[in-house]
Formats: sequence, C-alpha cells, structure tokens
Amino acid sequence: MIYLDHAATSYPKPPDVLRAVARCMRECGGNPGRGTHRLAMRAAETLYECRREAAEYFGAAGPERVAFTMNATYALNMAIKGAAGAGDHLLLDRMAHNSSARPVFALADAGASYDLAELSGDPERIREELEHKCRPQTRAVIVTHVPNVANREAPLAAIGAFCRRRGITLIVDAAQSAGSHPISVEKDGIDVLCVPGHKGLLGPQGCGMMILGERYAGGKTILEGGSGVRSEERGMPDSPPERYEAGTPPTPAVAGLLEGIRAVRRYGTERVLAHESALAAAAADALRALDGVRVREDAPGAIVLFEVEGMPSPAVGEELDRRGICVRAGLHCAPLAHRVLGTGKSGAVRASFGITNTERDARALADAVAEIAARHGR
Amino acid sequence: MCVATVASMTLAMKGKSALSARKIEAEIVGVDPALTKKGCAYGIRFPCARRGETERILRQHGIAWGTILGGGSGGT
Ligand SMILES: Cc1ncc(COP(=O)(O)O)c(C=O)c1O
Repeated sequence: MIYLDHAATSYPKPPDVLRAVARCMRECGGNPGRGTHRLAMRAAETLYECRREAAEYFGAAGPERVAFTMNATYALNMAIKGAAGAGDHLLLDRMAHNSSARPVFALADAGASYDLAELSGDPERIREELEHKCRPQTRAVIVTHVPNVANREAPLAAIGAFCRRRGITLIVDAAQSAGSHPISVEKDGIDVLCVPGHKGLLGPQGCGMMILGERYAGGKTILEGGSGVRSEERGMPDSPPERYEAGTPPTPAVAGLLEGIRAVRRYGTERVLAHESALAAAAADALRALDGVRVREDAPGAIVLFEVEGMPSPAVGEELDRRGICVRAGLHCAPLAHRVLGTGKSGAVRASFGITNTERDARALADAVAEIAARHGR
Repeated sequence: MCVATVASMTLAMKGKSALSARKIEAEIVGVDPALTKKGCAYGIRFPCARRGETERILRQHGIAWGTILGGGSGGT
C-alpha cells in the first residue's frame, strides 16, 4: 500500500506517537484539570508538556497561549465566530477550505458580511488588496497559509503587519503548513493560529490547537461547559487556554501529538518541506509526460493536483486504490479554491506526499496513472 | 506552607515549573471553593519562608495569583 493522502491526515504515525498514546491511556488515565489526585495530575502534566512544546515550536509567548481543540475546524470555528458578530465584516481567503469558509458563511447568515481576497503571492499586491477591501467594520482577516489543493503560500508576516496596524484580528488556517513551513505566532503577527494535530504534526486524529498571539485579548466563546475552575461563574474563565477548552480534552491524542511535534522538530521543518516538494515535483514531472494527463501548474510543495482526460476524478481515485495507492479525488472540501484553480466543476485528483514517502512511491503513482490513462484512452 | 491561588491548572503548572527551576519546592493543590468565592481553583503550594522570592518569580513569568493563603495547608 502506498499512502499519498497526507494532506487529509498523515500516516503512518511515528512509533513514538503510538507508544505515547498507549502509555498515556495506561498510566495517565485521570481527567486533566479536574482535581489533583496523581492520575489527574499526570494527565494535566501531559497537556502542559504539549502546550510548552507547541508554544516553543510556533513561537508563541507561553504554554498558556496554546488551547487544545478536536481538530483545525474546531479551532477555526472558535476563532472566527469568537471574533465577529452581526454588523461586522470579515475578509476571507479565496483559497479557503470549508473549515474557514462555512463559519464565515454562518456569520453572514446571521447578519455579518464578508469579502473574498487573494492572499497568496506578492506581499505588495496583497497589501494593496487588503487596503482596498478592509473597512472600518472589518474585524478579522482569515488566511489559508497553504491551501489543501495547491502549494501557494500566504506571506504571513506582511499580512500580520497590516492587521496589527489596523487593529484587525488575524486568523490563520495552518492545516496544511503546520509541521512543514516555519511559523512564528509572535513574529508573524498572528492573533489566532489554527492547526490540526493529525496532519503535518504527525499526531493522532482527535486533536488540534488554537494558538493565541500575546496581544490577542480573546474573543467570545462558542462552546461552554466544565473547565475545572471557577465553577461558580456563569461563563467560561477569562484567561486562555481553559477559556477555550470546555469539557474533557483528548489527553491520549495530545500525548501522541507531543511526540509528533518532537519528531518533526528532530527531523527539521525545512527538511520536511524539501523532502515532500522533491517527491511531488518528481511525480508531477512524470505525470506531465503522460498523454491524457493534465497536471495543474503550481509552486513547489507537497501536493500534485491532476486530471485524467475524460475520466471523473473519483473514478481515477478508485482505480488508484485498486492498485494499492491512496489519494483523494473530488473537491477536497475546498470548492472556493477549486474555482480559483479552474477545477470547480468536478474537482481533481490530489496526491499529497509526507515524510515517510520515497521516490519509489512517486514513481509508482506515475506508473499507475500511466496505465489508467492508457486503458481509458484505448 | 503557603498557597498562591491561580486561575487555572495551566497557570499552576507554569508556576510550579518556574519555581522548581529555581529550586523552590512547589506542588499543585486544589483550593477550597469557599475561599475563592468563584468555585474550584488551583493553588501552588510553596514554603512560606520563600514567599518574597516566589512572588518575584511568579511575577517574572506573568503568573497572576489571587491570594496567598498562609500558614496551614491551604489546600483541600
Ligand atoms: C486547508 C485546510 N483547512 C482546514 C482543514 C480542516 O482540518 P481538520 O480536519 O483538522 O478539521 C483542512 C483539512 O483537510 C485543510 O486542508
């Protein structure tokens, strides 16, 4: 089996991650932040260690700026809905995944407004676009750092500088970049960084993070419940991270995430991107040489988006699965981005590479697509 | 022992870790909700003899505390 769907979730996870999850379930079985008996404290220490590691890795001011969520989607919902309400205006990246687009649409249905903006590419052009599209009522700019169907990248520091000057909250969807692109919450001027634990950070499914900039004063909560503290108060605690963590957190997943982040740091973030880009480029070159295959031209990165002429993308995905290759076909929950790329009707096939892939995998993909295209063209 | 009450388990952890790094023996304890008037809370227990130093370290790390419960165990 060849796994080329790392943009959806990374697989396989490093052995340290698997061991940490099992160990946590065996030895840290208490509920973190709920009481101080030894098992509750071991669970709380697990969360704290991961907060510390993530804060360091993402250049945040401290462990208390790291709140755990179930995935990137929860983080984005909390950030976006916490930042704006009826009458407010938002600016949404045209390359947005539904994880950030739908919360914006939901706010728009409740009386907010939004505009789409092209936020990747030349920083000067982007600054002009921001200048042109931001209004006095603009509360947040929501940027997709790297989209899930293309390799382009948003210049975070330039967008951050603009947002700081204008007092606008900068929310970053780093679902595809966390673990492969350097990000610094403080240096890049990010207010809320939303990351999944289960993709490039190599952790288990069921965990994500909302990492807050030091200047970010905090938004409304959209989820309320037990927090382990201040139980007499009607609302969630004022201070992060507990403000954003209603209910029992996924401690075993966080234990795995901690080891996932450590594995990425040991390997080196830049090396991750270089490795994945080299494989994707090799696959793209080989696919481009095939009759009846169209590769979407793109910047260097982990993703290759392609189509086989005359074949719906899900059919290509199915044929590849029959040959033992896992890819994702269709619209990838990103209809806005596919529209920008010109693949908005039936989507495309996406192969996405991870650190465990090799050149053999890239070659196997091209060979399998060659066979599928040839058969189909016959 | 004294106990500095803090707003969250995360801050308690941060405080304990900062104090331990400076060789101040610290422990996290639950605080009697009746003392905080806001419900459950956590505290960092430390030797009263090192109160000044402890306060300085907590302040340096941006850890705000509510009250310092002195003398007895303070925790529940
Ligand atoms: C760009 C982008 N944003 C957000 C998400 C959502 O991430 P999660 O599944 O962790 O909620 C994805 C998932 O594929 C994504 O690619």
